Amino acid sequence: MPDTLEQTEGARQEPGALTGARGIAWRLGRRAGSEQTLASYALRRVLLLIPLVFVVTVVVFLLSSIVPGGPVAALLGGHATNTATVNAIRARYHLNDSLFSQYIAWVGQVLHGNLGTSIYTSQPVSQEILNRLPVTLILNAVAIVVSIIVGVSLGMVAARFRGGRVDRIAVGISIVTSSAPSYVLAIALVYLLAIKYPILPVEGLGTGLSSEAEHLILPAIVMALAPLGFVTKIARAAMLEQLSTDYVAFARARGIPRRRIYLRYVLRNALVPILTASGLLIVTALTATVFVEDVFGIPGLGGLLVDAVENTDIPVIQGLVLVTAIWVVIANILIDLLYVVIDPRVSFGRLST
Amino acid sequence: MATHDAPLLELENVRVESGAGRRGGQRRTILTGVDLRLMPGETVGIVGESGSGKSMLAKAVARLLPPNVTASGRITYRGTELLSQSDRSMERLRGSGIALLYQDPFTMLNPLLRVGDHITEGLAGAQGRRSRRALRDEAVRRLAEVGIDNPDVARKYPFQLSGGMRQRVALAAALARDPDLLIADEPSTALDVTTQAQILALLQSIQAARGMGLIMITHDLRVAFSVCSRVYVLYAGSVLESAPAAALAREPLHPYSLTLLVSDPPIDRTLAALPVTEGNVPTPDSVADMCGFAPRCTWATAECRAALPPLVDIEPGRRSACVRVSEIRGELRRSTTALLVEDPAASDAAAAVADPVLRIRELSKTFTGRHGRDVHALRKVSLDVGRNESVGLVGESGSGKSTLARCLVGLETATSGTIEVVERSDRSGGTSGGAREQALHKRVQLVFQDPYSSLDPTQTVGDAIRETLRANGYDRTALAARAAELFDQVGLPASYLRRLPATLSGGERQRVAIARALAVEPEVIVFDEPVSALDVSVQAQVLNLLKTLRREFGLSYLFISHDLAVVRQVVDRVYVCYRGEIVEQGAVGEVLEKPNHEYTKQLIASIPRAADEAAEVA
Amino acid sequence: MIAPVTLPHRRLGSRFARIPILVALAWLFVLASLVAALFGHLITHISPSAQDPFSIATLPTGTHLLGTDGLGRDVFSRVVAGSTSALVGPLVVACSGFLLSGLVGIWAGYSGGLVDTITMRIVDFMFALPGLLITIVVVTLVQGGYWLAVGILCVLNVQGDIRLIRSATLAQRALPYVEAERITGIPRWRIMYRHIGRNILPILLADFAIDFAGALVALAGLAFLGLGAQPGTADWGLMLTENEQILFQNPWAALAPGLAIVVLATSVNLIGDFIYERRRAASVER
Repeated sequence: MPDTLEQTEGARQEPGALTGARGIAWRLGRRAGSEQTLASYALRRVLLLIPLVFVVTVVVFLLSSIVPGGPVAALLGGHATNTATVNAIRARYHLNDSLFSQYIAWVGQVLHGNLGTSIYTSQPVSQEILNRLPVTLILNAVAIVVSIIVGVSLGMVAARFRGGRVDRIAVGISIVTSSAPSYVLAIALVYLLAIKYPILPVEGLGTGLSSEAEHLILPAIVMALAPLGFVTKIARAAMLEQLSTDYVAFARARGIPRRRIYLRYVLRNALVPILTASGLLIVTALTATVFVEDVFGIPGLGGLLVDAVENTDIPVIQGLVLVTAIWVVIANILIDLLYVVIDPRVSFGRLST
Repeated sequence: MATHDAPLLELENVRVESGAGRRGGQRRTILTGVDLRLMPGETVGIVGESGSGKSMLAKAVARLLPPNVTASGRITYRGTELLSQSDRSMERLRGSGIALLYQDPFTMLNPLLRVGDHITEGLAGAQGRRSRRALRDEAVRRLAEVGIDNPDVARKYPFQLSGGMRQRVALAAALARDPDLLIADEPSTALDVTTQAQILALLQSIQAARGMGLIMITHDLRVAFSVCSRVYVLYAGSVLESAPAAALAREPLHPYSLTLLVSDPPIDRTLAALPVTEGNVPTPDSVADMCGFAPRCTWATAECRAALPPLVDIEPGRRSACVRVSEIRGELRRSTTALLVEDPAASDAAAAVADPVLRIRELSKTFTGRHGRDVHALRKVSLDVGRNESVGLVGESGSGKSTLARCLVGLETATSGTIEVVERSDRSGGTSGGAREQALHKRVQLVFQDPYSSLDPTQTVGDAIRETLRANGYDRTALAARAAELFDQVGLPASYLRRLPATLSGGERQRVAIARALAVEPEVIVFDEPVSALDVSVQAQVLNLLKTLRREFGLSYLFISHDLAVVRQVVDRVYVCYRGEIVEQGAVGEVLEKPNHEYTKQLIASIPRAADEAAEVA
Repeated sequence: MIAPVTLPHRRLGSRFARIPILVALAWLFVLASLVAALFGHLITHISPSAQDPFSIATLPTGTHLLGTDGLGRDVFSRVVAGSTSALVGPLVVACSGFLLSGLVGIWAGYSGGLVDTITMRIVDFMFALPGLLITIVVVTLVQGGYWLAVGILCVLNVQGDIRLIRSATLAQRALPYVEAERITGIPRWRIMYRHIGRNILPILLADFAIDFAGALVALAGLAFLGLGAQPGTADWGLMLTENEQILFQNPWAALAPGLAIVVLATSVNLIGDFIYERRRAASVER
C-alpha cells in the first residue's frame, strides 16, 4: 500500500523565460491535467474493481468444490448417503452441468439476492446474514472510529513530545496492542472484569437497548484495541515526518500560530498516510470480529462463521466470504474517494493509483 | 534609513552547539562565536560553503534551532535580547519582526493549502476580523507585490505552479506580517539561472520599497555582491572577514576570501588552471584553537595555528580575522588577478570537428503523457564530439540536456535519430575479446550530478571500482593494482579504497565516480552537472582534475551544465540547448562573447554581478 | 549490520551500548523461547501430556508452577512444549515471505513493465481477500491440520511483503547509484540482489519480524477456533480455548499461554521496529 502514494515531485523546473512555457518535466509530472473531474476519477476507481469482484466470486464459487468429496458432500454436510440421494442432489443443483454454466447460474442467483439455504438451519442464507449483520457492523464501526480517534490523538501527542515519557508510553501501547491478538485480550478482560472485579456483563447480548449497549462495551473495547496500536504507530510516524518538513519549518518561521500549524499543516497532511493505512484497519477489525464474537458469545457474523465452519455449512460460508469481500471492496472505494477530499493532488492525477 | 543609530539586529559572540546535554550524544560546535550587526534598511550577505554554519545562524536568530541544538551569547533585535525570550513571545515576533525565507520552493509550501491561504493565514490579526472577500483582495494585492499579477493564482495549489512562481508565493507569505527583517537562506539556489536573476531582482526591489533589513545567506559570492551592501565571510563556524561588498570584491583581506573570489571561475576568459585550495572545509571542532583556514592556507605560519584569531578592525568598515593580514595584504591584492592566468591555447579551438568520436544526428525523444499529450524532450538534435575534444552542452532544467545524456548511455531510448560512437583503432588495454560487442552505452560513460547518491552506500568504494572492472572483463589478478592506479589518477590515496562512501566528502565521492567511469575505458565521458552539488573551492579541484585527465589520457568529454562560467573553463566548443533544440553552437569563447540567439543572450545576462560591474556592462 | 554510517571515530563497543534495554529483553525472550522449543523436555520434569486425575484445574503449586488444566496436565510443561509450534510455523511463514518477497518483489520492482504489472495485479486481488477468514474456511473445508494452515498463511502473507519490497525497490531503482551500475555494465542480477537487496535488507528483516509475529498470532488464533493444531497437542492457542472454561478455577491455565503469545509477538515486533528505525536514523545522519 505505501506505493499507491507516489508523491514524487517533478524535477526542478521553471517556465522558460522566453515564452513562459512550462518545463517539460513539470508537464510530464502533471499528466492528467485539471480537466479530470471527481466523477471520472470515481468512475475509474469503480471500473478497476470489476475484475476484482469477478475473481472474488470465482473463488467463493469454487469453495464448494475443494471440500473432500466435492459439492455433494458439501451440500450434505457429512450426512450418511446412498447413490439415489446423491443423484437426486446432483440433478437438483445442476451439478452435472459444466462448471462454467454452474457458475453462471450461481451468479444469477446471487444477483437476485439468493445465496442459497443453510444446510444446518434450513434458513435462507441471506436472511441469516441480514439478521446478524447489524451487531457486527456496529462493533466494527465503533472499533474503527474509536481506534482512529484515540490512535491519531495518541500519535500526535507522541510526535509532539518526541523522545519524552509520553512518547515512550504511546509507543509502548502501540507495540503491545498491535502484537496482542484480540482473543488473548478478550480472555484477559473477561478474567479481569468478570471474575476478578465483576463490573461488566461478558456473555451474550442481553435484552433491551441499554442492556445490549452494556453487553457491547467490553467487546467494543477489545475490537478497538486490536487496530489501535497500528493506527498510533502510523499516525506518530506520519506526524513526525510532517514536523520535519520544510513547510512546517517555514510556517513557524513566519509566525503561524502553533495551533494552526498542528491542525492545518501536521494533522491535515498526516491524514493521507493514515487514510492509506485504514484500508488494512478494516480487514484487521473484521478478523477480530470472529474471535471477539466467539469469546463473548455475540450472535453476529463472526459467530455465524464459526458455527458454519463447525457444521461445514457451505452455503453460509460462501455467503459470508462474499459479503466480507464486498465489505472490504466497498470500504476501499470509500477510502479512495476520501483521498480526493483530503488531497487535491489526487483529482489532478498527481497520485498514481 | 542610515540615520538610525540603533542597530536592527546585533549578534554578540553567538555560539551554536549540537548534542549538548543529550546522553550518548557527542557535542559538536557549529558556530564558534559570531559577531554581526545590521542597521535598519540594510542588506547584508553571509557567505559560506556547506558546513560553515550559515543556515544555523539564520535559525539561531529566529530561535528555530533543531531540538538538540542550542545557542548562547547575545542576539539583540531592536534592543530586545532574543535568546532569553519565552517561546510565546518569540512566536509573536516571528513573521512580524523577523521572517525567514528558505531555499527550496518545491518543499517550502504546504501542498494541501491554496496559495491565497498561505498569505492570508499570516496576515496580522487575520482570522475573523476581516471578511473573506477582504482577505482575498489582500492576498491578490500581496501577490501583485511579488510580481504575480494573475489573481487566479491565489486559488491554485502549490503543485500547480513552477519553481519560480512558488518562490514568489513563499516570499509573499514571508512578508505577510510585514517583518522588519527578512532572512533569506539561499533563496535562489534551487532555481534556474534566468529565474534566479528575477528572484534576486525582486528581493532587492522589495527590500528597497519596504525599507526592511535583509540578510542574504548564500554560498555564491556573486549573488551576495549583486544584492548586498556588506558581506560577512563565514568559514568553519566563524566569521573570517566582514567588509563592504565592493571593497571585498576589489581587495580581500583574508586568504579564504581570496579563495572564494578566485575559485569562482570567470565567464569572460578561459584559465589555464583554476586556482585551487587543497583540502575540504573542516569541522569547527577540528580547528577549535587555530585559524580555521590555516590547514588549507598557503600563508599559514605557526602563529596561525597557535590560537583562534579574533576578528579585528583593519580600516573603517573592514574587519579581518587573519593575524598576518598586514604582512600579506599586498600579496592578497595581487593574487586576485595574478592567480587568474589565461589559457593561451584556449582561443584556437577549431570550429569544425576533424576526427569525431561521437556523432549524434537528428536525435529526438518524445515522452507520452497519460492523456496522449506528447512532450518533446529532444527535437532533432545533432551534435559532434571530436577525439580528445571537450564539448559543452548548456541549458536550463527542462531544456532536454539531461535527456540527451540519458539517451547516450542507454538509460532512455531515443524516439528517432542516430547515435554513433567511433572506436579507437588501437584499443586493447586490459579488456578481453568481448569488448567489441559491448553495447553502445558502455563506450559512453556518465558521471552524475549528485555524488552523495551515485555510489552504493553499503559497498566500499574499492569494491565498487573492482566490481566495475570485473564486469568489464578485466583480468581478475590485476584488479587491485588497477583500482589503486585509477584512484591515483583521480588524486585519491589508495587507502581510500577501503572506505565507505559515507566517510568521503562530496568532492572525494565525485572523484570516485570519475574513477569508476574511467574503469570502463569509455570513448566518451558525459558529465551531467558534475560540480553543481560541490562547494566552490572543491569545484575548482574537480574541474582541474577533468582538465588534467583529458590532457594525460586523451579523453573526450561531453560536459553538461547550466553554469556558463564553469563551461567556459573546461570545454572547447559549446552547444546551447533550449526546449529540446540546439539553438546555437560554436567555439566557447565566441558564443559567450558574441551570442547570436536571444536565449543565449538572456542566459549570459542572468549571471549575477556586483552593482558596479553591472553598471559597467550597461 | 547497518553499514551506511561507520564513522571512523565511533568505537566498536558503542554499537552495543546503543541497544535499548527493552530490545535486549526482547532478544532474551526470543532466545528463551528458542531454548524451550529445542530443549524443553530437559527443562521440565513433568510430561506435558501426563494427566493427574487427583489434581484437576488446581492453582499454581510447588510441583505445578502454573497449576494444572482441566485434564490435570501441568500447565507450565505445556507452555514450554507449546513453544515448538509457536516458533516453527511462524518461522516457515516468515522465511517464505522473506525469500519470495526478496526474489519477486525486487524482480518486479526493478524490471517494471509486464512482469511488474502482472505481479501487482495478482497482489491487488489478494489484498481484497480477508486473509485469515479465507484460511479459516479453507482449513475447515479441507480438514487439514497445522501444516496446511502454515502453507496457506505463506501464500496469503506474501502479497503484503511483495508490495512493500517492490516499493522499496522502486525507490532504490531511481537512485543514481543503480543507474550508474547499469551504465558501467554490472550484471542485472547483481544489481538486483547484491546492491538493491543489500540496501533494503533492513526493510526485509523488519518485514521478517512482522511476518513472524503475524503468523504466530494467526496460527494461535486458528488453534483457538479449534483449527490447525490437532486436539491434545500442547499449543498456546489450543490451551487458551481449552482452558477458557476453567478461568474460574485456575486462570493461569489460560492466561499463561496468552501471555506467552503476547510477549513473544511483542518481542519480535520490537526487534523488527528497532532494526528498521536504526536504518532510518542512519540514512538521516547521512
